[in-house]
Amino acid sequence: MHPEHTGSRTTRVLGALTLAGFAAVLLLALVVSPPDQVQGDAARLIYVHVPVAIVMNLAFAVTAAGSVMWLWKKSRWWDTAAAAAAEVGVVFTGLTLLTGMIWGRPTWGVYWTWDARLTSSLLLFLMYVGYLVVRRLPADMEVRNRRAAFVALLAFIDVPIVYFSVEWWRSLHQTATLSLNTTISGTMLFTLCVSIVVFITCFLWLLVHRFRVAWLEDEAELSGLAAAIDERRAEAYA
Amino acid sequence: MLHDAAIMAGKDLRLEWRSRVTTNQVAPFALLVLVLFAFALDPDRGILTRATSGLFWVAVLFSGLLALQRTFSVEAADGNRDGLRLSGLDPAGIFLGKAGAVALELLALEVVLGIGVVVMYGTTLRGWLLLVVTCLVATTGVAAAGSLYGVLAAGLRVRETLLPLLLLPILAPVLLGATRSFEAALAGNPSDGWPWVELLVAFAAIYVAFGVFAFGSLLEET
Amino acid sequence: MTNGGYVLGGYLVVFGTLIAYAVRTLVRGRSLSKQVPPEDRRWM
Repeated sequence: MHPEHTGSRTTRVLGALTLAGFAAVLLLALVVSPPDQVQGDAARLIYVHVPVAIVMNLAFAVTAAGSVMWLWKKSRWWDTAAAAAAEVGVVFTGLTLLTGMIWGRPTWGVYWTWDARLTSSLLLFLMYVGYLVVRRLPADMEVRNRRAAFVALLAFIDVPIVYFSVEWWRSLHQTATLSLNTTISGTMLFTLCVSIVVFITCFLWLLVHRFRVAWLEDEAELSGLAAAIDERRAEAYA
Repeated sequence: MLHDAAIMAGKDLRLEWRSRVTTNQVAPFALLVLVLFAFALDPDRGILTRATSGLFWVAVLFSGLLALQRTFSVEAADGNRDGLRLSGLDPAGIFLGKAGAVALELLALEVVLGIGVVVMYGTTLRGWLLLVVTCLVATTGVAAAGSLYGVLAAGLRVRETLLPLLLLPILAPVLLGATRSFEAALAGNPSDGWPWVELLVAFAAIYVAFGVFAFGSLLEET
Repeated sequence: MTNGGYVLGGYLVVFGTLIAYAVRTLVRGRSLSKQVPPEDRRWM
């Protein structure tokens, strides 16, 4: 299998499912499901906000797991997965923050509140950025992977502490929690579940492609090194 | 391990004593941060007194960054890192020693900052036990987490910008907890503050443990 | 639709970003695949 792109049967299947899925989600979310009694049509943003938030956490978990596997078993496959999941994860974290703000404005009148979910998502975004920066630092692959793995794990153990402390902090002020005080009707719940599944499929599709890109980048670097070494040897015999 | 820690901390503190970077540069910087806050926040409206807890700890964090940069730049020079690795000192001991020295420097800075807020912000200090315990525990957390990122960033050309980016998001709970605890102490309700101290203890314990187990591996990079 | 601007804006941001990122990743994949010799393209 030596195609000149990162596709394969797996990605074609995932991709097709994603596209069909998104079509279904758009139909369900924007047309079929009813507007909320309290929030009106703004509630339709939940069908994108919740799934991207779930994917954000899923991606982060993959990065953490991959980092553990690198440190424990020196698994290059897992390290590459960690790196790919981090970049895809940062995209979804950004989307979580943006959709959170776009939903918050019509619903609560403000773009931002310092509640636990938004605040820890923002900090998570910054931690992801730090991880990606560390991965890009010039270094041997072993060193790079190890540094990044530690950064990922240090962030991973901190996120629950952040979430808990912010939640506790805000609860002291008795501000309205951003929980939905509406009952979710059957259609809405169904739409939400479908959307979650579709977004996870999309995540997997992106992850596979991004994984292969990362693998190819490493191979390009390794073969570049090999070529340079060969050149030097050739010079020695010239 | 503890013996090696003492050797390491002793070396760092002696180095500090001779060079006086903390006293001559970091402490004035800390006071400068307090001054800047006063310029930014209008001293006449009582904001500074009300906001003392937060401003104090932000000043501690910024000064802490400087202290950490300093302590690890010392190790990056002249192949010191290899010297450390080959010295036969237990890496966990090196971690505890380095973090311990940084913690002591930070505690000294906190005393200076404490005097600063009393004098410049007109704050009355009360709830002494809570204040002192908070300082000890929060500083331990900052020093431990900071040392982990410090060694990671040491020797990199981008370390001055990388260390804050990596460390500050992680320290958010420490800032939250220490500030809330100080607020409770200064407001005369220490019972509100002690639960936050528990959070700070948990943070410190986790990061000290992580450092003890992982520092050796982090030190190994070439 | 009430708050239609927000809803449409939100959906556009999400799908627009995902499409843009997907395109970028696929393009990177293609250009890297050309650089790397065929033997090294195995990724499992």
